[in-house]
Amino acid sequence: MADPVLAVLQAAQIDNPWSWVIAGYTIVYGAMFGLTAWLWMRLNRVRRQLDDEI
Amino acid sequence: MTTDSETSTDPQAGHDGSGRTSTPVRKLDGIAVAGIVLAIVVAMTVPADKLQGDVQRLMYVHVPSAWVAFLAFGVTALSSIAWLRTHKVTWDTTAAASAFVGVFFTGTALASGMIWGKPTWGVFWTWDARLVSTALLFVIYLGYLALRRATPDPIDRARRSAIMGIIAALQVAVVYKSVDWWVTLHQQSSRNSIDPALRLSLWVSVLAFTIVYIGLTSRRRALLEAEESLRLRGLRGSAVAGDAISKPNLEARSDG
Repeated sequence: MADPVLAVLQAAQIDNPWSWVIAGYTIVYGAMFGLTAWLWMRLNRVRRQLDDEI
Repeated sequence: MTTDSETSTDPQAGHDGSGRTSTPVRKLDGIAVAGIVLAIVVAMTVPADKLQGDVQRLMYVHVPSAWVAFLAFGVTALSSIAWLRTHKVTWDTTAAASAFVGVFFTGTALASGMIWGKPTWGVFWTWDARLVSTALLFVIYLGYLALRRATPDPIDRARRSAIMGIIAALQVAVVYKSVDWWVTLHQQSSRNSIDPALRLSLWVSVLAFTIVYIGLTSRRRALLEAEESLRLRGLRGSAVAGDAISKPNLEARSDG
């Protein structure tokens, strides 16, 4: 197969348009919630450090 | 003219001081989550596009991502102008936080566009003017964030990044007009010809993403201010010149 990406896609039988939709939504919303969680955890950690130093 | 030290920043802003998020921030989080759930439900239930079919539903994350990226970089440019005029640290942190979130949404716009491109165009990537100019936008604002990290002095950092934040905004205009200026595979704006049901879904998603942008930017801004407070406290506790200056021996002088 000349196109390795196409070979993987065919092997995974990703020919349904909903597969692309679900993949796109998972990546975008997953990244969004991941960033929110990272910011929330880091902010709480820095605030705890500030509180400890008072 | 004011300096960083003259402008107060409150790292506890929007929080109750106990590490827990205060009511207004929690309300914004609640609205954002409700908006995202509504956007997903509407996007999955509106009729499929007549030409593209269900793959077109990716537009409900791709277009809002691109819109929020443009908004974020616009806010960065305006905040940069405000910093150059007032030298208030709050404008600098707003510019930095907005650029950070803008880079994130440029990334999601590129990723969702590539996922849409494969089943529609047959390729994840092509050297199209809109795609290349968007990738360049992503790299330019990564450079903006790198410039901030590479400049330790707060005033120098704010000045350099403000200038870059204003100049970089020109690339936003290039990306927006790229489909008009060059012959591109990427479609031109279709907001006037879109079906009302699809347009409604698009607007719901744009609104939800904008609320998420406000929440992420305010959190990132609070984090930058808290980190700066932590850094300043660390500086206060340490000697300015380290071991380079020894304590004067006053006792020896009194003996003489």
